[in-house]
Amino acid sequence: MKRIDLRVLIPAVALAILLVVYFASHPRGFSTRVLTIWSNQSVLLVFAAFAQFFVVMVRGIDLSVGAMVALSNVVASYVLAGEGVSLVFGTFAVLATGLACGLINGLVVTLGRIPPIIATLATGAVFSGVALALRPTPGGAVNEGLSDALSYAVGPVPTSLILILLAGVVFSMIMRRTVFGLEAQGVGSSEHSAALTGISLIRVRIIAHGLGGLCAALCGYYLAMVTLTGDAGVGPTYTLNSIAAIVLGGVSLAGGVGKAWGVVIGALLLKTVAAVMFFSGLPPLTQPFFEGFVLAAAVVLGSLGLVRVRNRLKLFSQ
Amino acid sequence: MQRAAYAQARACLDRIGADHIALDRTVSELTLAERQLVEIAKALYQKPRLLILDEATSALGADAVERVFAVIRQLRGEGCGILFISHRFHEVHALADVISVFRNGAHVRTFPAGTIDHADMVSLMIGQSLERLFPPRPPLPAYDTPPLLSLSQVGWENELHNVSFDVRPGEIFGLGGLDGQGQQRVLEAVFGLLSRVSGEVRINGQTYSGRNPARSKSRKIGLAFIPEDRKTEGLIPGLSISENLALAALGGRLGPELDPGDRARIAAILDRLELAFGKMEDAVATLSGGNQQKVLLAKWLVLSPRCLLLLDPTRGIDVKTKAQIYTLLAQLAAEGMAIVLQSTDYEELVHLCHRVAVFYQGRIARQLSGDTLQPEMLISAAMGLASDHTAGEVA
Repeated sequence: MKRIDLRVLIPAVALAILLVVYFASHPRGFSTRVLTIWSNQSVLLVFAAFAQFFVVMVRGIDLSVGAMVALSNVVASYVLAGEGVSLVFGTFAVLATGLACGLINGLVVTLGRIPPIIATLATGAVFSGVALALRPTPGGAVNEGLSDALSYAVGPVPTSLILILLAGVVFSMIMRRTVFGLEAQGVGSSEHSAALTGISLIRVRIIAHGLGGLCAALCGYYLAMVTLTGDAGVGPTYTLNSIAAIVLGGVSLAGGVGKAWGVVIGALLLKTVAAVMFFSGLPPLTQPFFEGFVLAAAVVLGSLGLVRVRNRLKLFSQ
Repeated sequence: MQRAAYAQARACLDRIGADHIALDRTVSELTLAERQLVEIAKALYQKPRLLILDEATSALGADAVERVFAVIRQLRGEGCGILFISHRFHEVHALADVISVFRNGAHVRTFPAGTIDHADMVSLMIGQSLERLFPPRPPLPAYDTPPLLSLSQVGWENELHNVSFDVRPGEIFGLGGLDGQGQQRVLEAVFGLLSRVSGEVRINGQTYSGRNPARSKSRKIGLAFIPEDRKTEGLIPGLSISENLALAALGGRLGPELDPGDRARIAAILDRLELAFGKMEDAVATLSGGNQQKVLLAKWLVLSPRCLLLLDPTRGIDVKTKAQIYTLLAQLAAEGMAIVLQSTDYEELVHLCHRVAVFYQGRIARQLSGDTLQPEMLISAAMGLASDHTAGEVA
């Protein structure tokens, strides 16, 4: 094993503490039911955070994450109402929607040579527009059997918790065991070197956006499972929270640095902070203040490693 | 106020011979050598009492160094203390009054310049006596060996005009000249980093068109390119040694796991380079400059290229590593690799290369080989003084 990465370890410890506090302060205590509610909320942010993660790894940023989530959620509310085989096609349709959105982002960013922040702001507006046109007001229907299967528990373990772990394992494998993963880290940390090594910057960026779009679709899909409706207006919070989650998980917004498990931990941490506040007994109006305070503290702790940096030139280079 | 500042900045640049650098150009457009000149001008602008130059001349050609030295001597005359750090002996010898030698982070000895000769100074620096910095030149390939890499009438923008030369397997071909005369661009054009290059590049007699880095490194073409700035262009500092090596070796293969053959080759190459490292999992950023350069070389040698293109591979590197790199290049040439070496250090070109093409204003001003390959000839050709323009001459 490699040395333990402080960028992941510190948020992991913070998460563990907060989880104990959460289950201890929850009026019903620890049970599969409480765990299921927590992990159903968390899995949404985990997928949204991964949508952001792949793009940030290649030194981009995706402001259309929320819009992609909303669009795939709306699509899901149309195609997942049926029975049997149609659900399989419906699932593919939702995932294809996200993938297509991601690939469009990738093409605009690479071939259009438009800075990612502008490009995804624009495409995000387009995706939101399509979602609103498809479903001006929340509505639609989702097969309840499918919804139950995905949003309850398998024995004592919530299905969504299994999905979270699966996402961590699969995406961690992608980053560490595939050529794309290595190339993405290379492109993110040193574009010049990567290009000179014969890596196609365009291809790596497009794949990263495509994967991001797919993750956004997973988020939209699961959202439909939980809410049983499609809502074109769910986007904005996902965009901001996806960025906050990966930063909490030790991913550098400058690209190239970050671990898939860090993303999972960051997303869970962000969700748990909000959940703890809900049951904390603090006056609701002061909750945002404390929520922000805890998050800031977690980020500061995460960068404590920099205290050991003795070279002034390298102080902000991480 | 602002106008006065501009005038002073202009004066500082002019003073060190950088009068061709316009004040309104952004630094990112400048070549490495021009950036170094700007750095030096910045330091002069502050009218220092102590001026520290840390490898500040490492990318400069001989004439630029001489102009900077003239200014430094003048400063010394005015009472400014100068701390000059360099790996180039002749520069230290030419400039210093007192020389201190450091090795592995410890002070070895301080002595007045001129009291210790070249060879003794080298042995102080590397802690053992080094018979010679340069290995014996590998034997020249047979006269009728067909060229491996051949350029004809290569041109690009305003920086290259009608560049033609051939490199045979087993040959070390040098590209010299003052900085920024097009010699770096030639290698970038061959490797496929520049678009809209005119003329023709042939590999083993076959035209190589549609050049790009991925195709260049394929087994069919077999080019390897060691860029000038290893920190930003060569290696990916955040990744480990093994990941950096793997990244180059992977060409569309599925997993990033190297096959056992690759592993054995890497081990052999690292052994040959005497790379000092803790673990293969250590980040490249933790290695010294010399060791980074070794990793960079290893990364490309794993691909078993047929032709190695190097941009100033020993810039700012300690003597011992320099000697190891020279020996490696000589061995590789002896094994039949074609090597094209661009360098700002004329000693390197004179002692290591079979033939040297000297560039001046984007053209080959002169090709030197055998008896004509002398420092004086090299420098005069680099200054554009050679009267006979024998561009495209084939030795």
